Amino acid sequence: MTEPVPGESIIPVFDAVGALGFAVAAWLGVRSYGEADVERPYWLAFSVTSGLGALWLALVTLEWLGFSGALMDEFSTSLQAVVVGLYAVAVVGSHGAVQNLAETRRETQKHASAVSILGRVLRHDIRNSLTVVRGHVEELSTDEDTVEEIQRKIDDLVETGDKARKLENLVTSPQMYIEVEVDLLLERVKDEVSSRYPDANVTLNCPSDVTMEMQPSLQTALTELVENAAEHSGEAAEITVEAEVTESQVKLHLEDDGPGLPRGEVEVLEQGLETPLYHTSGVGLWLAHWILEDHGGSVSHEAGDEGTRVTVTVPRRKDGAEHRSPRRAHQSPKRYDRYRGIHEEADHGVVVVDSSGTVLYVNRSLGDLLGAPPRDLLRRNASDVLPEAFDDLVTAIETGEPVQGAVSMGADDSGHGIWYSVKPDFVAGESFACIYPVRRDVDGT
Amino acid sequence: MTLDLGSLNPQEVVVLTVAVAGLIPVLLYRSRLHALHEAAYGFLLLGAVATNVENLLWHDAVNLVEHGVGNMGAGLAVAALAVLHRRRRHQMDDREQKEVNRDDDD
Repeated sequence: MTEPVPGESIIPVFDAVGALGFAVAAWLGVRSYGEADVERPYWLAFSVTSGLGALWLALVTLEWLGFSGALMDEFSTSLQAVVVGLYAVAVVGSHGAVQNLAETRRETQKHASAVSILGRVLRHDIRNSLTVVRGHVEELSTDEDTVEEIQRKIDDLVETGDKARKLENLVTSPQMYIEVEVDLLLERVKDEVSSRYPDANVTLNCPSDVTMEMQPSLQTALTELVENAAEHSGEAAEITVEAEVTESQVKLHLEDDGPGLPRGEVEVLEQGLETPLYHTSGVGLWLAHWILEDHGGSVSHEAGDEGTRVTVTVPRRKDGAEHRSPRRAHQSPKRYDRYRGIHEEADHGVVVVDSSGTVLYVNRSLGDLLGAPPRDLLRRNASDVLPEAFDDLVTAIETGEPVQGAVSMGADDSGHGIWYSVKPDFVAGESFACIYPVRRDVDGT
Repeated sequence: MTLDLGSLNPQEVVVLTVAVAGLIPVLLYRSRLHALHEAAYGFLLLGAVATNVENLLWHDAVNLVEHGVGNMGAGLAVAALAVLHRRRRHQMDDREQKEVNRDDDD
């Protein structure tokens, strides 16, 4: 009879505790796998390895309790090798890979935060301070030329801040397309440029009744490009915008009599990277380039002796924008935060309505137009919120038909016009309408 | 004292070989690993070493180390790791939820 070895009776307890530990780890691993996102491969490896670990130590415990056999002994030893190997390769390997991924994510989030903070500083802090400075300068100085020069510089800075904010919106907000008439779009661009550069002569050459799908930001990009031409072509700049529309794309040729962009700036834009030595002279051209890239489009610059020719190419339909840049650094999980992010401070009105006609979102501009705070318009029926003139718009939402139209506003039926476009079901069960005030007569049809 | 290598179990030698080879990824990713990962693998390695050494010398003592430290330690370390990771994840979820709520309030 063999003597019992001291301490031997406690060994199955050790193994049973170890088996229990592995089993708990496997159970928590399975639960984490169900909840995980990027960590899924890690939790899969962790759960499988822990499960096998629990089985291995359970078998070892049974062996110590007397359920022994050569086959069982071999099997448990093989399992031990599998558990050790899996732990080293699968668990540790996937953990390292997941850590790399998480680090990349953190970096991306950090950049998104930096963009957001920069945007906030530009739009709020600097802008507010400059407004105060502008007012004080006016009171302090009696030299009108000096005051004008300072005010012009301040206005430039404020405008740069606005463009930086638009850049921030572009990076942080999702893509939403609407259908517009190309000639109407170019008219709005022309109106905007003419209001800032009254001496510039912008000539449009565009076929009528041609539509394209675009994000509202495209208007900003085109305005930037035309404004850039007006700014650098001296007084009384002559700018021609010619649209060439095919089945799949819209090509816009912008020609001016100015010197064009320096080659260095064009190269910086084409390479998509600035350095302290090589950079563009502002934010506007970046904004235009990124918006066009976001549409799956492109822009090229050619400078000659007689002027500059900029060619913008944009897919006519959203589906044609196959090479869209995945630049969206951060997408809020909340859809209405997205609406707010992109449209809250837009110049045009935006309303989002669900399939029952209930208003889900109204931006500030539309609130101003309707003379009510946006908050008061939410969760009401669209037909109660919008004036009778927008009955077609409401009908379009109810029937799910895309529609564009124009209505007159104001008592004299002139000067104030509203152009609108409805995109029903732009996401399941929700319709999106853009409402643009235009400064020209509209006939109400 | 002479060691009788013939008393080694071939299967257990395989376990030891796998455990030593497994040190390569563990050491490579060491800077990214939680200390409990290293501890868990350390216990597994200790178990693999001990299960072989017990065939050569001090059988009872080494056997006790294999099961009491190696096997039990590995099981407890992975359980602690799973608990810790889940707790950290829930803390992150809570933080994100608070940020969303703060955005809503704004």
